[in-house]
Amino acid sequence: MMHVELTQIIDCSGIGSGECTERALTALGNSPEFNLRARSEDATVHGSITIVHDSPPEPHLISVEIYEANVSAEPEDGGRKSTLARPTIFPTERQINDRLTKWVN
Amino acid sequence: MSIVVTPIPRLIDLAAPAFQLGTANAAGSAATAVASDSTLLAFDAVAVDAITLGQSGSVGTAVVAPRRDHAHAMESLPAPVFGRVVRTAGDITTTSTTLTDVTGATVTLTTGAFPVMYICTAFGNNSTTSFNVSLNVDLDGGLQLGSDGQTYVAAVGGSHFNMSFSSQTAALSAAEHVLKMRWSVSANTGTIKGDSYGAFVWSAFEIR
Repeated sequence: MMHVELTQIIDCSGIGSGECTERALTALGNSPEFNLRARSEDATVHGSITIVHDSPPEPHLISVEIYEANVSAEPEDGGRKSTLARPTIFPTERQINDRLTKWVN
Repeated sequence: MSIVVTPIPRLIDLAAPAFQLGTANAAGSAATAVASDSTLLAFDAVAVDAITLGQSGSVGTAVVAPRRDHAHAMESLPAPVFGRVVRTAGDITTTSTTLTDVTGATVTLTTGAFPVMYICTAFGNNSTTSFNVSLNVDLDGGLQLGSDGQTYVAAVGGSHFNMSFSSQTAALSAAEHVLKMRWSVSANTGTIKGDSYGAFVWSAFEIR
């Protein structure tokens, strides 16, 4: 699994953490071909995004995980129904950083 | 008429007392007596024993007694260890459908051979109606709440619900232990509130 983590000072108090996450997903190019969020329980996802929405002066901590290979269900996954798959077009760490940096700026 | 004083010979010598404190009366054998203002050895200057936790009782062998106002040194009880993480600086969101750490929600305790109580105080939501947020506790790499964990279903997407829970481990080994909060969603975006309106608190303490 590729794990990209970056910190950015963002004030999302005006839009809320939910909308902040939506914008980050849009910036990352979230789509069926590069899906970081399941829309249904049996969706195929290629990774995920986790954000700690700290307020300035503390930065947001943004963690993006992308599956480098198809992932079988693990015992700890419990009732997970989603399919975890490697995206057809695998982004580089730099591309992920660039997309998120543009979103912030 | 003069008075003649004739000293009566002293038949018994007076000696220093040599009484022993014991568990039965004994006649003794010395051919001496003690004066009525003599002093008996009943005490000495040795401090009574320091009491430790779990020590065994003992009849003892000393031939002197402690003083009525003696005091024992007493071992202090080790303070139970505890730890907590409080988040008020902002929410945490995730889209992960597999368990991922709740960022920062890790408590490390060096315990005795005792259980640990842990408490999660949290409000949160799933962005979409009928989808889940699941919370679980990882103790030293093993899940405490089954594979599904505590699962909360959003009756209304985006509306906060109570995700607080508490539980207890089995008795742990006397060693360092790490308790982490982990979470996932069934789909869509999960949120754990962590602001001035609703703090997220992850805490654990040893039960002694």
